[in-house]
Amino acid sequence: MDRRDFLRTLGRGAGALGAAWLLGPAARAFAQSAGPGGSAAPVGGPGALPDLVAVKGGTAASRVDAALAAAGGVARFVRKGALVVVKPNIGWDVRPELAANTDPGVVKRIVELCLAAGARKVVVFDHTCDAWRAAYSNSGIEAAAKDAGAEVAPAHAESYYQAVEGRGARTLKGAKVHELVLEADLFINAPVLKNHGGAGMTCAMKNLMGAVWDRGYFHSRGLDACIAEAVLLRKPDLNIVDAGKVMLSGGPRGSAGSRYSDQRLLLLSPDIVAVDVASARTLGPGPDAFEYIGKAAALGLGQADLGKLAIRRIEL
Amino acid sequence: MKARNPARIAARVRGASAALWLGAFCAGVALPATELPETARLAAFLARTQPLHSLEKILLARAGFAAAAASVAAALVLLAGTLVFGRFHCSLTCPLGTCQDAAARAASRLRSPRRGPVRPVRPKLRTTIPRWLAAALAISGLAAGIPAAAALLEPYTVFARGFQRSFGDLASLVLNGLAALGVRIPILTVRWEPFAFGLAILPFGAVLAAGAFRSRLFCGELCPAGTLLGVLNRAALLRVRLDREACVDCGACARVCRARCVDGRTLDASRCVQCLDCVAACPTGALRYGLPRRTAAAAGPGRDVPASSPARRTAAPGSVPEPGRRVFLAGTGAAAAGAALALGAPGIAGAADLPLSRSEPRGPSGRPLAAPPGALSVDRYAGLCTACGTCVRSCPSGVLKHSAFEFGLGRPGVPYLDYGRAFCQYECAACSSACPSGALLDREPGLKKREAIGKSELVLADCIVVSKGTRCGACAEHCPTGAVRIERVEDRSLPVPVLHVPTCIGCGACETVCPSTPRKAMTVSGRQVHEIADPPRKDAPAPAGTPPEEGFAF
Repeated sequence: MDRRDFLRTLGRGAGALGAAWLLGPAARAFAQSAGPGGSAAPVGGPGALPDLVAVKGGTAASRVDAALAAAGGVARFVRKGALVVVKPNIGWDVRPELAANTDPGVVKRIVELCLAAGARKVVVFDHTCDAWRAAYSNSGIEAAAKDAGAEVAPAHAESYYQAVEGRGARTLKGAKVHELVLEADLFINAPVLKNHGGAGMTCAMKNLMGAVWDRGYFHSRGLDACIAEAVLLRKPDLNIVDAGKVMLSGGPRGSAGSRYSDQRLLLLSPDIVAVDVASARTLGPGPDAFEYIGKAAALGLGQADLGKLAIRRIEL
Repeated sequence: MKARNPARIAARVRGASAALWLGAFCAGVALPATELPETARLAAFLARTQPLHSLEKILLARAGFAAAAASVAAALVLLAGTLVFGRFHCSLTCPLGTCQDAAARAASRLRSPRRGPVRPVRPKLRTTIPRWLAAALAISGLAAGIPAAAALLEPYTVFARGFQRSFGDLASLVLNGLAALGVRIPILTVRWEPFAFGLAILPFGAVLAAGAFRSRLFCGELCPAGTLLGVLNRAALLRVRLDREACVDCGACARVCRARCVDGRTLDASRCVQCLDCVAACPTGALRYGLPRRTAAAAGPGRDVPASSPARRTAAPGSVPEPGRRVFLAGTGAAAAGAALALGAPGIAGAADLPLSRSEPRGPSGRPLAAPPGALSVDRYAGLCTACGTCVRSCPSGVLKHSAFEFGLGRPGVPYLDYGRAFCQYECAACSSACPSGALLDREPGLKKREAIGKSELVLADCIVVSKGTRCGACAEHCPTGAVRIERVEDRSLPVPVLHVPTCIGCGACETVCPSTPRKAMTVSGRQVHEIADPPRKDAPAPAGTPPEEGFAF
């Protein structure tokens, strides 16, 4: 064929490919939910779904299943091709029996369900307090997450973190947040509920301290205000609280002498304040004992009055 | 003629094995254990095969039998093996030896091949004295608690420190570059520490440079382990032997010998590293590896041709040997002088007011430095440590750091805990199990959690709870034994840290995480003698009541 015919054919071919691209992958990219800060809107319409789900009994995995099902199903939160980032508590180099970290069974089930719902990738990480290799390994979470098909990412170097300013933050300035939290399509906060020697309780909001680089800043500028304002950096899309075995004393690290309560409980909510209020009641002292809960409610980060929420309680 | 082919195969197998062994050492030593704990375990295992450290552990470290068992086994295998098979360690399992061979090979590619008359090998007074002096200084120094000579001369130490700082740090930087470009590998820790860098690079560089120009110069003339193994080699059952009658003076052996110990007329068995290259090169089979043959030409061990034999007197002009007795006396004299110097050095230094060893080494903060767990006491530990860096590389948190001369002029580079950058992990005892020399002792598991290597001090006025009126609790949350707890005390509105020193094990977590500036409220000082701390107290005081386990609380 001559040159003109060749160019014409090339042009038609490019046009066809471009149309296919527009209809296919690009369409998916444009249709994905908004970037950081956005919470996935419920697909099935408002009204019927609870604001907070509490499941008691069963095993770690069955509690996660029941809670997600009651909340509208995994697909309500996980879009196909989404990047899901799960942030459990992997702070301490201790065995799972001490319940100082999130139950590996809970993490594993979350990863499995997200991948089954069509997530492109699930990444698990935490900025640990103890040496990261040992904490990831001895907590059992690295093995459980990898077993379920997740990628386990390091968080031990400053270059993994980027500076973010929370809108409306007055105390927490210049925080650096792990890049995974900022890139995630779906950010799942997966804390363990336990006693804490410094803050009294560690749960959903306190767990976000493991997503930032400089924890010392929180301690030095006002622990309660910073814990509350950490939610402004990137609000978790979903909070799944592991309250299976609750450490009552000797927290956050735990020791042979720690006392425990066998609660066999799991709490789930997109509302981080509500889930911390429920956790505080479960631990005993109640939300008024923890200043950061009130501060977070005042910032409009969630509903502290459980009476105003639709709560679903399930016993397995 | 028939000696050639099997010898060549044997020499090649030896060469390949030595390369593999070096590769294992490089893998174990190069990259930091903070991100790759498996490599640290490999390095710790390989370090136990090294002769001087094993002997040090058994003889000097006061290790309990269980702790020294692996080293006893390694030392026995090596010593017995050398008496049976010759000084094979130096050409097979010594990483510094194989490194020198690599340097020599690289250098020879750049140089024209050796031509002209081959220099004859003779036992010389002047080359006997340095190595016996060095061996005596190193070994007696360790016995006297002044490890400086050993720190500069012990081959595994020189290799491990040098390779880690040069190739290891370079590899880490390259890998970090890849990580920055997006490759999914964890970021590796690389630190700039000038003194440690110098202590690592200079001896290693000097040995390799010397080896490039005069092959295995260090092994034959300075290495303390080599000197000792060389003595055993002369008495070995199976080793390279020279049959003077069968030699045709072709010079092939002298051209390939990496230790420059053979020239057809003489084989210096105290320097031969059993590489078997000469056996492979010899066209007549005058050089062979095996048992001594009972013929007139073969004399006693060591010098295969006695100085007074008829064969000697007809040797070519210019190759007059020196009598063996003078060399023996020179060597013995040098060893005695070295030993006397090393053992007397502390006394001399004390009289001259030179701090060869400090009784309470202090850091830049002015506080006493802490020795790692397993040290038993700072003085014992620093007196045995050759600063090989195996513990520093094994540490998962990176709290261990090489000092300069803080422990004394005779104790360079001894590692201590630098609490500013990390703290000692409660569940970890990697340093004690990694130490090849016994400076840190490996004891029963769990003992480390009760070993007080330091004690912390609380200055409440510097605590931000008191100075800023804000809640903190970082120290108590990290303390693994509950030595510091946040408690309500009278006349204070907020709960403050309360420290109970007998429970403190000196891990340094409180100091590392204390957010107070410019001075930290919690600081840790090293204990000169490690003691057993009180049992941990983590379970009291407990919050009011226990929540009900049935039903929902909200």
